[in-house]
Amino acid sequence: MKLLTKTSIYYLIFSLLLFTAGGVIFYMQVKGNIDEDITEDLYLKKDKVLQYIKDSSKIPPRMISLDDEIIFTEQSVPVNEQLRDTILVNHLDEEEQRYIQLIFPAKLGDKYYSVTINKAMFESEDLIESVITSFAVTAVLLIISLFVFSRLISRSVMKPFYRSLRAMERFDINNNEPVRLSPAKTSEFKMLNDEISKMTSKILSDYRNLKEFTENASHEIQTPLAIIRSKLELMIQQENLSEEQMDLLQDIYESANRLSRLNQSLLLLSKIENRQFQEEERINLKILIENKLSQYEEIITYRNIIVEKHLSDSSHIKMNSQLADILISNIIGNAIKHNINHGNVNIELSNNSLVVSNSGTVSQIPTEKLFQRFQKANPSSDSAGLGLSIVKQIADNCNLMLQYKYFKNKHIISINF
Amino acid sequence: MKILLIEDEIQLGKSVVSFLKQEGYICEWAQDFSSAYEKISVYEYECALIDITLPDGNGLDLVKALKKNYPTTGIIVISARNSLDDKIKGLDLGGDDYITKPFHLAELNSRLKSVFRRRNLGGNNEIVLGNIRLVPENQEVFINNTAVNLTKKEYSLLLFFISNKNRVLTKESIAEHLWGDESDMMDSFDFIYSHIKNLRKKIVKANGKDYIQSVYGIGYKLYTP
Repeated sequence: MKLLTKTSIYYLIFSLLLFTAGGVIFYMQVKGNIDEDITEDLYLKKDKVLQYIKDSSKIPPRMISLDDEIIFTEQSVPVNEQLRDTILVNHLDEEEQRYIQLIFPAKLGDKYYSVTINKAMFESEDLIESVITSFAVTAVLLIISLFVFSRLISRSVMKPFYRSLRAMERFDINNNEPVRLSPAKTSEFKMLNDEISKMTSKILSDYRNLKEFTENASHEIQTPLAIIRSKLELMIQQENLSEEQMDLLQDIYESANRLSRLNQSLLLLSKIENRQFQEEERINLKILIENKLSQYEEIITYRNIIVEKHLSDSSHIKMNSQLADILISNIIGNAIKHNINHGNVNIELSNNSLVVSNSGTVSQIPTEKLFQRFQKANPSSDSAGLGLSIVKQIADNCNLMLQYKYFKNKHIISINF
Repeated sequence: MKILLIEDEIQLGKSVVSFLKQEGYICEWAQDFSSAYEKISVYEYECALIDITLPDGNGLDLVKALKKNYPTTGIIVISARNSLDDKIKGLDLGGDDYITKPFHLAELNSRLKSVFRRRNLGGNNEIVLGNIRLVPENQEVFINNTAVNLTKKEYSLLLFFISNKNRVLTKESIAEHLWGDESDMMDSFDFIYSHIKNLRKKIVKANGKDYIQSVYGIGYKLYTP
């Protein structure tokens, strides 16, 4: 639900309650005033009646006006004066109606009379009606104008907010560009923008530091590793080594090589991440794939893998040639590496997609983790589990759609470009 | 033969120098740009191994200077892996070959020998080992003067062995020599083993002498008494 809709609903509920309460209070107030007036009027009439009796020593004639009447009744004893609210039948339209009634005693000679003055309260119902109507009309008008007004206002008031929101949507940590927020004048938005700027630049610098650390670490490890390897190679050349020593040397040498490969891959990953492969060119994928296949020829023959391929001549891609090389090399390499002996590899290259599928056992790695670093199916294997994350990184950098699925005992990897 | 190594990393330089001396080369070593520049302005070398990244200068400038002063000196550019630009520039400026760090010493040796062969244009370029004869220009192999049909990889494997004769070659260095960056895939011992087995079979079948021995656990060695 939009912020505006939400606040409007609250406004609506609140103003309805407020108007109802206001209406009730207003009604009570007005009614009280009217009642007071009428009561006063009744007492005035009483005074007039008593004055008349005193002056003329006779009962005034019965008077009936539209809304009140005076009735004289002979009594044996004087009545008590009373003022009451009552419902009587109106003699005009035979309908029940509210009256205010004043009964008071009067004495003429030695006769006692009770005088009743009835005052019809025509106004009361009309009053409620008009109060409700006017309040309702005011309420509706107010709410409508509130809606229109708040919409208009929010469009301009909330503008900086939506601008910031859009800027944040565009934020990509890999671009290494801080969120550019246009200055806001409202203090809340100013605060929000400041916080966003602070937060994103912190995120960026943390991310950069982390990347730099990986890069520097890999870089610094490189030389000692190369030294270890070269020293080992010199040592291996010695004539008088025992089998036991050879075994030890072999193990050290293998581990050093493994570490070296791992390190190379990490360096490559950070180089790709840092977009150090810039120059793009038009690459004929068919030629590249054929080339890679011929490089893998011996191992393909050795493992008795059958390669089927349907390669379009005109399939080109615009990207860095080194990256394209690594990408294709890793994908085809994987299809051979994670294959079974006497298995097969199928390569389909069309003008906008490359699909490589290969036979193989189901992967121990969940599909969603497949492209993450250091994921490998066989924990004891020599490989570092970086091959597919390099593929993923390249795909991300070059805006290629990369997908993997396992279907009918086949690993299928597809790239759309 | 006199070789100049230009490498700022001391331990790595030591290994290379020690290795090249074992191979019978005279090896001089400059650890920075300025001393390297001095050396190449004064002395003439058969070959220079130039690391591109030096603390006080760019190795590419040394390639340029060397090319100007002594155009016959062979040049092998040493660059970091995945820096294609350096490779291309190095070769454009007149480098004969390049090798990326980290490299196997046997690989360096084989590159060095191939540079020497290519530089020695006037001389006889054939490589002879007993009754085996290699003709590098055509990548041909003759045993007892009969042509032997080797695949490209088998040829380069044999050449690698001969270039590093009497040296232990680890299976990793063999894989990397034959498949370069794709060698990760090939380093299963079985695969290298079967590859070498095929080569030996072909040599033996053509009545050549099989000099290749396996070295326990580590790799292989082409052994000539």
